Amino acid sequence: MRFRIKIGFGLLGFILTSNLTAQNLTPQSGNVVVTHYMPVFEYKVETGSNTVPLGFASRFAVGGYVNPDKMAAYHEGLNDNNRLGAFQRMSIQLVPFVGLQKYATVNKQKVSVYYSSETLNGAKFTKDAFGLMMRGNTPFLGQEMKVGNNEIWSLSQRKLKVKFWSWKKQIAWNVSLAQVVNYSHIRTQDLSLFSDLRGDSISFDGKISSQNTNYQPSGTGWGLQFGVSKSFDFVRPNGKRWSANFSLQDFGFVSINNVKTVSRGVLYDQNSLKPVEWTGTNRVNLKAVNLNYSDLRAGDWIDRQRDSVEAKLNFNEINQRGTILSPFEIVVGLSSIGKGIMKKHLTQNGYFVNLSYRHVLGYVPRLEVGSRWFSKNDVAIMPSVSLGGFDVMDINFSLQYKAFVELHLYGMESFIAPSKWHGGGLMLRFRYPFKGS
Amino acid sequence: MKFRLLLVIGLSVFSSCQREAFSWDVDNTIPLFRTEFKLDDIDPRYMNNVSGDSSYTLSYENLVYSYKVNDVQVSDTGIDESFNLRKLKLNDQQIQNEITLGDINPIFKLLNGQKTVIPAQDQTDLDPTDIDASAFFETATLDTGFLDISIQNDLPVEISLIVFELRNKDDNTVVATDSFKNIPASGGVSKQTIDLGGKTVTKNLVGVIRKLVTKASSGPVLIESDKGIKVILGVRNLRPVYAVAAFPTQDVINQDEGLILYMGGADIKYFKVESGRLRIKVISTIQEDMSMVLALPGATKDGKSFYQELSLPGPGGKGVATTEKIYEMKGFLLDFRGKDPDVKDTVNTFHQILRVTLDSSGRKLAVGLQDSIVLEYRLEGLKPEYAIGYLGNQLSRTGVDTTSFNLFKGLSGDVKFKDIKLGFVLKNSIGADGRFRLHQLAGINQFSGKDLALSANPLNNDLYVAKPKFIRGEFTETKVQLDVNNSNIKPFLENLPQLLEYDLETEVSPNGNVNNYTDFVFDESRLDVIMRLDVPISFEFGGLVFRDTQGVNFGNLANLQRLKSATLFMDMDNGFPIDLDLKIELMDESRRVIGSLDLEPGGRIAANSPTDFVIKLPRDQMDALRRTQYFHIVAKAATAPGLQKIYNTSRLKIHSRMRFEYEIQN
Repeated sequence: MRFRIKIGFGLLGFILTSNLTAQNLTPQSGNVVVTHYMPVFEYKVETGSNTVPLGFASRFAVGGYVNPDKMAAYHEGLNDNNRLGAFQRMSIQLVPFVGLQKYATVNKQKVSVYYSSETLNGAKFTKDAFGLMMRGNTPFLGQEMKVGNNEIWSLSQRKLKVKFWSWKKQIAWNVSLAQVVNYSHIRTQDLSLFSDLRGDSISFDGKISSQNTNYQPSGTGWGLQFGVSKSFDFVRPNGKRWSANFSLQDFGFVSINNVKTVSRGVLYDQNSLKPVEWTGTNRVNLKAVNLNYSDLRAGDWIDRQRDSVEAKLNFNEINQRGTILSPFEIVVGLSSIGKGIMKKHLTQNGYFVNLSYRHVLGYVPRLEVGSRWFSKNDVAIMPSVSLGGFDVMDINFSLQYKAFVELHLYGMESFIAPSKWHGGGLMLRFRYPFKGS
Repeated sequence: MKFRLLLVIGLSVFSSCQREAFSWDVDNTIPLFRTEFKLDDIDPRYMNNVSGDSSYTLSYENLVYSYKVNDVQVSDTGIDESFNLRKLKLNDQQIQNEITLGDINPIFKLLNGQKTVIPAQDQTDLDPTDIDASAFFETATLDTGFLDISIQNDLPVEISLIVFELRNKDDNTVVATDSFKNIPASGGVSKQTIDLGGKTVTKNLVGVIRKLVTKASSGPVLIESDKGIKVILGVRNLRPVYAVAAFPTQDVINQDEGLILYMGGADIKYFKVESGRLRIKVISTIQEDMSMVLALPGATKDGKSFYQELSLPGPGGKGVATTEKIYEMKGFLLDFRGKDPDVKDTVNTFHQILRVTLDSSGRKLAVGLQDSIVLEYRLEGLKPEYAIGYLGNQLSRTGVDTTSFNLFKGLSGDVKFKDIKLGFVLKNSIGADGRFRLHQLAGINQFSGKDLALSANPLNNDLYVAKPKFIRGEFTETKVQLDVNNSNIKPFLENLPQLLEYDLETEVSPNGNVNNYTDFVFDESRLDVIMRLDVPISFEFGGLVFRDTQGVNFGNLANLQRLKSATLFMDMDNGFPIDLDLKIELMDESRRVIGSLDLEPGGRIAANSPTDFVIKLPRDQMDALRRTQYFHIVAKAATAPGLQKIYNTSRLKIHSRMRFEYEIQN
């Protein structure tokens, strides 16, 4: 993904810089409003954890390799209960703009079209689960690993969204049709594992299930979601102007097919992705296979041990399909609006507070508080601090230049020390054509 | 335009965007196997415990050569016979017709019952009389046959001359004409025989008296107009060329004889069939149904002799009828002493009775000379379970040839044995006397290239073997014991040969048929030349090298390319008095060496002590492991000075686990 993003941006950059002479959008006639559909590109990646630093979370989100030494360091920093999440989205929108380029605004009488590819991951896990899954059992020989209850969830979709405005009520609506390309959900309950000090035996108990479609570029399900957002301004008796906004996005369902489910100690129905019942399991002891001299044939005894393990663990396999609630997002915000009088090079123009929640594993309600600043050259800056989300605490920074480009940086402290601080992300949005007269 | 291009590029990038895999390495340790090796595991047949001592004696047999007599097998033998109409006949039959006095002269009807003098008569061409010969046939063209015409004179006067003519009514052709003279009155009979050869006779005949001359009566005689001349026609020995007739039941084939079979040079009295069959095929154009009886009095099974009746239906107007039957002969004991052994006791002769009978249905059927019965009778593929007789004198020399000696497979080096005894055994299960001579025997070690000829006084002369009892599996053994006093067996075996080069000679029945046809052979009978080694497992070797190549199968291990390194831990408890230095090489499918396993500590497993053995496969060897199809194991063994014994309590215990680094992708 990272590799492809570089190619995409490289191409875009080449095209954009080779065409700096943009279209003239100045209306030729003072009374005619000319609407131009312009593409807006957006890339957003957001990661966070209460314990795992950015160095791990970023690779978890966008891919990459983590070497054993670093993995051991990450493991040491974990708590008994940990959470981790990541969100990545690339989109291209066709937005109807009116007015001069640098001050262009969206024509709310027209429809926007929006195409995106997004992946959402979430996890709740114990320290021992992380150690076992990420490092293996060799570092923990002679120790009882209380893996316990864990959950790891991931959903990748492509969406085609149509946005339109209810003009008089200033409510923005959107409807999206989604195509599922990947889904996985791993659950464990009361899992434990003990490896003998010399590795001569392994004792395992607990329940586990894994639901997976693997990546299916032609799709493995579909969904229908809708969103709504509304803002309204009001003036307080003291004359200060405030704006309140509410947004509910991606609320709907996702229907997924061809889910391969392997489980132990869990009962499933073929038409539902939720476990029907967690059942009891027996402890399984894996020891060295007794062989005759004539059986000593390399490869065969590895096969026999593997077959012996599979037989003892007694995994069940079924194919499933089911429908889940889509990972929607709610945002409620309140902001004060300054008078807009530019006094200095950098002028503050109000404060804002947002409370958001994303329905995904590992995400806790997020509270963000910040202020807005403007500069004389049409650059808006919004520093903020947030608590919650995928992370615990983030220092954020946003920059917007006219109507052309926006850059949001989340969890900047983790960029400085990615091996220590957790959570981090960015969003980049820009509109083409980039520059006009 | 650029906007659209940008849009298309953007959509293409986003649509194909797939998150790169998140990957990491896990390090796992798993238990593998435990096993215990003792000398019994090589093959318990070879290991004997010395009584009073728990040490071992190695007993090992190696088959050098196995001789079977030329297979006593019956060549496929049979009878092909063809039978045609010359073997068929029609029944002898008779019919009778009467020509009355009234027929001769109607005036006698008026005088019937009166006595009067009958004057001499001379009449010609009397009215013809129809004669129905359908009892004989519908029509027949005869090759041979006879018509007997009898004239019985019931007239009261003597017949001087009667010329009788017989014709086919349909075409008026003359069948027969003959004259009868001086037939006495009142019952006199005169008979003539007509040759019907070459004549065609139909069922509708006409008898005509061409001339009748009678003498006058000697006085008044009673006139009985209903009496006259009886014409009796009888046919006999009819052999038709073509006939439409009801053929009588008759044997067309009748054989009772001995069938001589070729036994490959042996003279066999008795033959128990292991496999083989009797095939009978009858092809007939004769329209009539037939039946066949096949009896083999000399073939018995379960106390009963072979007897079969077979129905051979006619072609039913369709031209040719073919009947084929196969009889499995397995389990039959065949007596090859001939048709009547009490009279003439012979060999290779098989009594058979074959009879094919034409079953008269009473239907009149057309049969001609072109009609025939072809009989194919064949014994096929007869192989013996055993055969008794005289097997013949068979002499066989191998010339220089080689055979493997597997006891020392993969070995080379310096070894000393104690108290070697080698038995040279001739194991004979052929039911005949035999002679054996060893012209040459040498042992070749393939690794050192050294060959050493066996020199043994007891083997310089012919060896004789006796025939065993007539019981399946029974054998006699002729043994020659070789030891350090009468041969160079010790250096011969200490050369650790993997190949034996030999030239030997065998002869069956060297003195001829001295056993008077009581020799025998079973299907499994043979003369085996065996080297039988007995040596206490008490040895000393300065450096004995064992080699083995083991095929490996890593194909079932999924995603082997993600395996980054592996370490195999083998905790060995060596209870044998042998130090082993191990070297394991990796070979590809062409058995080329492509790598080796790193063994710690130095590949050595010490005698009578525990060793924790580690076999490492680091990351840079993983590619070689993935291509490995064989492990080539070379173990150099050494003992402490002095002869060492191995006891049945000696064990090599191995307890194994594996640690491996594996890349996981998500």
